[in-house]
Amino acid sequence: MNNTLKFNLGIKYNLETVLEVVDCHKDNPNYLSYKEQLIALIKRYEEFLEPKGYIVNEIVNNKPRIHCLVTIGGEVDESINKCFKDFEYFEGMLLNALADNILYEATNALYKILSLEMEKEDLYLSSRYEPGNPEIPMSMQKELYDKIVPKFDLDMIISEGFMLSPSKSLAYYYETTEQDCAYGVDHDCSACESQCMHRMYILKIHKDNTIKVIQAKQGENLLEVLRRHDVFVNSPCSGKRLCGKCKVKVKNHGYKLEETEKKYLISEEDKDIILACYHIIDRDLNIYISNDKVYHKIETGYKAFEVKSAKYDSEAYVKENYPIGIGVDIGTTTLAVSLVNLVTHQVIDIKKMINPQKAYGADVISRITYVGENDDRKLCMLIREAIESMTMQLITENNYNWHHIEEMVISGNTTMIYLLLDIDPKALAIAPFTTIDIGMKVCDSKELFSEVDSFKVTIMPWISAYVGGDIVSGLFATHMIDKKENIVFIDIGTNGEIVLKTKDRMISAATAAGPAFEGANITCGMGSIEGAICEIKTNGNEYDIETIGNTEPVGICGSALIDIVALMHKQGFVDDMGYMKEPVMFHENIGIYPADIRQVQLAKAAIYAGVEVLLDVAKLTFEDIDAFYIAGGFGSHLDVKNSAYIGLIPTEVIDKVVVVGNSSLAGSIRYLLEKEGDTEIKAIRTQCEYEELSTSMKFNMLYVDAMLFNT
Amino acid sequence: MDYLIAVGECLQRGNSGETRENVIKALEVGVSHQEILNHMLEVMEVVGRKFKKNELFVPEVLIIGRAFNVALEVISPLLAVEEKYLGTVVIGAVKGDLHDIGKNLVKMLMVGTGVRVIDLGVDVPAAKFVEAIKTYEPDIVAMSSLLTTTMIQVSKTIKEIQKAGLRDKVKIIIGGAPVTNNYAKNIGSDFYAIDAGTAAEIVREYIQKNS
Repeated sequence: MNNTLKFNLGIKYNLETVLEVVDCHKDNPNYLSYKEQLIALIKRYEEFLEPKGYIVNEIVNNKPRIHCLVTIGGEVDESINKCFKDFEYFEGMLLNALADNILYEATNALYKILSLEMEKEDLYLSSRYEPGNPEIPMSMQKELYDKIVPKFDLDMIISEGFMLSPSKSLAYYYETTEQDCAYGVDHDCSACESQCMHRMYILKIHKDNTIKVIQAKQGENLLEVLRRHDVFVNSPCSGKRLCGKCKVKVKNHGYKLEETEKKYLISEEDKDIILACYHIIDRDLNIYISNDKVYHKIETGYKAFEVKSAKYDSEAYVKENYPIGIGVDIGTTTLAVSLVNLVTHQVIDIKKMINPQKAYGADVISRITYVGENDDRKLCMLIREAIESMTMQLITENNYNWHHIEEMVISGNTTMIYLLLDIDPKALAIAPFTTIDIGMKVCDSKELFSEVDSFKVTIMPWISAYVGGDIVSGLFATHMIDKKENIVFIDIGTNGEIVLKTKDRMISAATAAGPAFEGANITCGMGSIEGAICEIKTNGNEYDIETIGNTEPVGICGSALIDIVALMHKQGFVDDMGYMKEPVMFHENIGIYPADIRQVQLAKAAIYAGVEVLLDVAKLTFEDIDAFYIAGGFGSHLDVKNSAYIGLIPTEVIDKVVVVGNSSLAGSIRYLLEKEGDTEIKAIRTQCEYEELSTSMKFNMLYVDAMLFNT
Repeated sequence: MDYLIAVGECLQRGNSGETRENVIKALEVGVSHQEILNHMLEVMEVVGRKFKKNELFVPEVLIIGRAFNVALEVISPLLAVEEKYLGTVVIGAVKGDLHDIGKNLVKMLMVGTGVRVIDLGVDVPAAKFVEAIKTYEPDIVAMSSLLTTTMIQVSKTIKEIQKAGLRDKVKIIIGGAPVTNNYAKNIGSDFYAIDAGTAAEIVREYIQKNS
């Protein structure tokens, strides 16, 4: 690197920060008009706001130092003064705050440039040494001035109080080292005692013996900061303090825990564990993320379907490599992507992962709320990137290339598809839950993904806001339209979707079953991952438990929850009304609490009453049901007898249950292979009626009745 | 009388054009300039109170401040020198301190209390404060320091004022993030203001009592 260099650093700023400095917060009714005023101001003064950076390299006390000076010209000072003289106080303040912000951003830009330069020489930058910080006397400003200003012959003066003029100027220096001591932290606030509103704290994220350092502003919510930096923390309720799941280990945090937080942590012995959503950043933190290589039990198995007439006949397509298709199922909780040979119909490989949006809430409502509050397209980008990278893995591991992909089909519930397509999902969360009709959407892969070849992408259409493309796909996979018997199809997840097929009708409904069976609002509830209790037996007073992965139990998964509630009722700890006097413990701090029973009652009653209402609409009874299809990962593992015992499903169907597994994924795969797929899916959409349960009197009556445990 | 009420209403909304127009109309129908000024100062007192209670925020206060000054320009030439201002304040950020957002806000709110404010700007050396006291003979000197490193300058400036034999001629008020009430007492300041609203209130009370 040259010893003296000049840089044009470019005008960069953060509108929100500037507005905050002048006390304009988002809840101010005039916020938008202030923001517009600021934008207009930027246009007007643009030519005066160009920041420049000057550096001089020199060895000082045997240490290499980079002396920096970043400055915006004196016209800004004059403009600000003029504003005040003309009583344009607000404009003056805005311009002042804007210039400060541009100056600060320019120093960040310079840091990035210098870091890259250093990287080339295998060197690292120290944090910024700034006059005015406690260890560095203001007189240092004069030293920096003398080193830099004459070299570039700048029009700049320094006062006897060591203040630079033009005033929008910053002088500081870095040392360069051979080892990384600053972890990429430029502006280290830890030494400064000032109550500055720009105060940043350092969070060291320890994971797998590596340390990642992130900086966060004073007053920011810990959970939000971790999410923004893509540190995954489970947070089913998305920071609403309702689920107690966003546990993080923070060594010697020193936070005072709130009473409600303590309740969530009742089964925690490690005092370093806190709930991220409860705390704001007001100190440096050491955060430990456990190496989470737990086995996620994501359902990708499904009931076999047949292909009536093949879309890709072998004649035309036998080349050196068969064309392949990608079937995708976006669940609220999980994401599954499959690689299918379109000619042989072989499902070559399936990849699965937790939906990365889960950090923004377990259920669709929390995600819709997030989108409403944050205009950042984060959820859209997360899911697109996840699908793209999983597809990438699938093709590379199986020796294919992007150009081999003929088409992709994606199914998911309505909210998931809205987020994928970057459609504002607000209307899905408020009555009357209207959806826009995009039918069976077909687009090009390049519209959704960044680094792919062009191929056709089809999106499974929805029936309503809460009976989505995943259900349509499931009905397609199970050949529902051809069935002549009376069949109930349910998918129990965060929402319970129900479809009744009779000889000549198809009626669908959705119930807000709540995320109890996914463990969200259950005291010791958790997903089907390592350490979850999955089976429980009893001999008298002792409980015999089995966990996924045979490890120390850490919680209870959804299917075991049903068994436990049934057992508690059988043993007399829970009465018919659902009353439980005190919690029952199975292993140290893991147990079932009275409030959990209530959550299960709400969830199971919603499903049961939903089925009842649909039968009523079709003038049928439980006895008339010929087959009871249960879809979804949770449905694949539940004990049918216990489910009937607690009243999740009718006792009449115990012998008629058919587990169909991940029928949403199955439907997407069948679509890739079926020639007349479009016709059949359109027929499902046309035929399928929708019954709104939230406004149904009948449903509300049956719902209350179904709450009890009377077997 | 209606025009006078309209002046207050427009002022509260921060509409400088309409405030100005209504001041002119009020004058035309014979409302005395003194009455108009008093009414405007009353409104500014309410604004200051609302600001302290977080019912108004900085931007609104600044916009109202502009309306006040625009209207003041209309009546200013009509006022005799002695009725023009209730008192005088000299304000500045001390040597080594460039922070002027808070200082400007204090200045604006003080103008709204009916005093004349002489702004020395930022990075003001002690000698400049001393000189300003001699020139303007203010009732109050207001100093701000936003950094722990410049706090010492506040105390130095007070000592310089003492040395110049001007200490008993003025009251001193100080403020800024690192400054505390205790510090203010220890270095011999008369008042300490925790925020801009308080600073204006202290000045108003002191000047009303002593004018």
